Amino acid sequence: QTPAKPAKVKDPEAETRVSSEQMTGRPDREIILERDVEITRGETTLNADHATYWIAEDEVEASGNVRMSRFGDRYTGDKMRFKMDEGTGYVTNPTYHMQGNNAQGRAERIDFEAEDRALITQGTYSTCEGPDPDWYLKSNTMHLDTGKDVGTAGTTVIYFKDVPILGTPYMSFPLSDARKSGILVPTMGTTSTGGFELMVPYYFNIAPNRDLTLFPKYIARRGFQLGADARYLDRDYAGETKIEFLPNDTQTKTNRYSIASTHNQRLSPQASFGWNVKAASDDDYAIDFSRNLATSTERLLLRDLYFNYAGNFWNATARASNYQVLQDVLAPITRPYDRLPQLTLQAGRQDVNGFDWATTVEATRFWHPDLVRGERYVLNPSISYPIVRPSYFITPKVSLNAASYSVENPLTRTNASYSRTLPTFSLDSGLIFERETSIFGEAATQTLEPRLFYVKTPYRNQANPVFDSAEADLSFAQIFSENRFIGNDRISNANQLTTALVSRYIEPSGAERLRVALAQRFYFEDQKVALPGVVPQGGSKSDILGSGTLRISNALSTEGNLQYSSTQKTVSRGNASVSWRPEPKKVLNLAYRVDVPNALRQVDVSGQWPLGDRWYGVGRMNYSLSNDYANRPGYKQINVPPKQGLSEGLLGLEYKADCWIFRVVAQRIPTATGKATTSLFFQLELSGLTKLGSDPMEALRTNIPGYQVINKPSNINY
Amino acid sequence: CGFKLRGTILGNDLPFKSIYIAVPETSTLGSELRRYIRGSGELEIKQSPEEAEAILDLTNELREKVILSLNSQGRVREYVLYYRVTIRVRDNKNVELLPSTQISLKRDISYNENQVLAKEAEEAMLYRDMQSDLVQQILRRIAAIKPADQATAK
Amino acid sequence: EKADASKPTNVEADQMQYDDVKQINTFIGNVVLTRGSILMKANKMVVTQDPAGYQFVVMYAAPGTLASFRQKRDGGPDQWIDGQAERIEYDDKNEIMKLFSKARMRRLENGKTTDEVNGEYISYDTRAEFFTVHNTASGDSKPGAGRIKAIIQPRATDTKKAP
Repeated sequence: QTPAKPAKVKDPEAETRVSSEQMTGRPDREIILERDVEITRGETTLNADHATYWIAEDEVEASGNVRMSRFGDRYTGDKMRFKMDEGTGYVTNPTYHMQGNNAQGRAERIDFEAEDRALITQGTYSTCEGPDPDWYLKSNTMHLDTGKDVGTAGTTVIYFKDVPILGTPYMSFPLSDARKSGILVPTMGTTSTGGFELMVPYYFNIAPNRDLTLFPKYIARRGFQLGADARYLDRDYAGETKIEFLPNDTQTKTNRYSIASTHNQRLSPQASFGWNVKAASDDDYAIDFSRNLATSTERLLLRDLYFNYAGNFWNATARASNYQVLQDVLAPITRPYDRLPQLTLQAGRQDVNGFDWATTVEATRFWHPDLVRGERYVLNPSISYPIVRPSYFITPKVSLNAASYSVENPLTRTNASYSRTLPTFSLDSGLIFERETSIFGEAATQTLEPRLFYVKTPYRNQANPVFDSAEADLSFAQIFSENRFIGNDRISNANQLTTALVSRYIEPSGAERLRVALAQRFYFEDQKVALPGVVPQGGSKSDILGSGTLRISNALSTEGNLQYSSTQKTVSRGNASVSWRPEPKKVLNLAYRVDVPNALRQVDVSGQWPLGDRWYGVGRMNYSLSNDYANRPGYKQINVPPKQGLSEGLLGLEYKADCWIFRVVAQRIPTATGKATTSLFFQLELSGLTKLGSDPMEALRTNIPGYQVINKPSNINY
Repeated sequence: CGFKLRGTILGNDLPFKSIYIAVPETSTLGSELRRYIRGSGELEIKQSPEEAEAILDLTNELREKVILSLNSQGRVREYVLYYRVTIRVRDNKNVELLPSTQISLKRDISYNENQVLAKEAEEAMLYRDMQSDLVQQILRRIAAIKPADQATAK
Repeated sequence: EKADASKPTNVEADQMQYDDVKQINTFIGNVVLTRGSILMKANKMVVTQDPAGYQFVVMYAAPGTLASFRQKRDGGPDQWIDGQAERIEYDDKNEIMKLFSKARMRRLENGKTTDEVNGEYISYDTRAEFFTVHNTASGDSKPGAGRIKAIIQPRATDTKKAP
């Protein structure tokens, strides 16, 4: 949190204190002061060898090593004229130091146009300490507006160690950390796909709640790209639209563009609508133009338009959505179904003399160019009688899932229709025991929470097409849901009992110090419902699920999850991790992970550690160990198993000088071709001004849990 | 071994008898929290801050999806879903009863581009599961609020 | 005030010696001189008169005390000027007041000090209202010999201009 800036309150009643070694003048008009002159008024103190003070105009003219400090900002110069109360005037051949973000510089002249606005002619600006700063920007005209915390400069050159590294016709930059949005400075960098690139943003503050930012960018190997980001925020609607357009990409000879637009608007207290649309000109757009891993791996671009009406106990949504697939020839993706439209009505009341009832009605038209497509209507009413007491809970619930399909197969031109009605009964119950005990010598309340969850759903043959169903990962959330599948196209037959035991150690503050959980599901009848082309698994018992999280101390915490296959008597999935954070900017994480279905056994080490007084090391190594899972009985390949060796890696060094940070980060990630590419990030961050080069922050933040930015106070982690 | 059935959900020495949940109507977390408090019968829910002796502020509710691991073709194999809330409880004279506390939960979810519609629904299921877990943890934090004198005495 | 010049001067003191030859009057002990709006106090006052009738007054303060003077100004209804120092010389001909060592001069407006100057030597031309302040009791200005301090209240015009 930046220290609160002293409010620039001016006290018109403040007296002026004057002192020097010699003084002559007329009390009502002006006084002339000689040798070691000091004039103080409220927040302003001015020193000089010689000064003349016009009392009525409250104006001072001073010369001979002039020094002034005002509201924390400090100036020196050889000649100054200044209206003490109004705060206007000028100083020639000045140096300045501003309290806002410790910025300083020198110039030919500074004109104090108003209390918060200064025009600096032929001046420099830097946030480095000391007379010869490591980096500074030099510009013929610079406006510093400490009221809006914005600095703008005309033709500007940025020097680093006296070497010009960036020139720009226009530039705006923040004058304090407080204001981040709206300030955009030129950035420069290189990418392996586009070569050198320079971007000079222009920011238009159209209105307090509307702004437009243009990002003209020159990309060496592609040409000129124009990006635009329009944002608007109002009482009833808000949204943001980003567009990037590159006419005639020299490499592909095509126009390249992308759109990302979100909007939501409240038409009335009940009705609202909005969209979330992404689109790209071609399949390789993400790889060619993305700046970080999150966007470069995003191959399915959602386009979703929704309208919502909320009653007091019901909610209706009409929605149209589909995905643009950025196809990857090496690892093709099947195109998801479009939902054009999907109408959903959800209603429900709680505690209607003890009963909760809820119902969902959904009508969807699934469309696909070549797969079976058509309409699906689903009705899913349910009623339950939850009894929740401090020491136990019992929740019987009856629900019905009725669905009907009318579909056509575009290739064979045949139509078909299916329908099913499936009742489900479930009974959830649990007890909660407690006792006072201690852990690591500190008082704690330990709980013991046994839970039983019985589900009975009859078997119905379901040959209807699968639009949005799949088998969910076995997790604590899934093991306590009635349907083994996600979505409405497959309802698993069930006569099963899930048993679970959870024990927690709760500190006096209410925080969970330790939590251990075990769960397993017992099938009293075989599972017969399956996805097309999948043989339903037999077996009377599900895998055992175990999980534990323990905070040993404020610095050290561990976590483990386990999925033990009772039929094969081995762990089918499991991970264990330890995280040690002794101090800010020091973190070490160690994780071991086993995933038999994916034939994966991995060790993941990541950390951030200071290496010397100004050097910080960051690193992550994801190493795949050899395993024999593939030749185990019943192994079915889901993904291509990673080869033994380093599959993901990151290594970086950060050097923190007092006003700039240099980062070099190498990141190795597997690519579709099976090989791995290493991308290199070089970044020079001039504190409080700009980041030059490719930005590794997102990679550091996602690869190293607990990473902290080295020039931010320790509690802000990115 | 000393275990006995839990007597109360929120404890019986809370320094306030009624609470206002300052959470927007649209937040499902808010409605589940109200339902459990109402179900416990140990704390009355008021419709406006003025009537309540204590106010629970949900100062931050953040859901975030971060890549956990890539498969050997460089495509996302697993995401981590984070659900972070920051709560604070103050009495109607703005005296802080529970300082600003962050509760953060996460769940892993495997990802497969060929089942994107199903994964949308699975993600929603995991967030609902984390939400119920958060509600229980918030209830535990409220139950841990001691009357002012006892808290300072400790 | 301009009108003082035409007013009679009268002086009270414990003792008075008069040297007719040199036309010097010396008053000693709680000397109080009044002339129109002018009021001067000192422990000892030597008044000499030149042939043209102009007076030249030198006031000495008792050790540890200060001689003082006060005069009304033309500028407004209740505007005054006062000064104090260990020794004060007043030259009636050129209307110049000189204050030596621990000198202070103030201007007051309806009882409130608007400006105040402190220094070792102040010379004030009452007619042109022009003053000079030096940092040595001898009257010349020596670098490093000491500071002169003044406090100036904002003018009425300031208060009107304030937002």
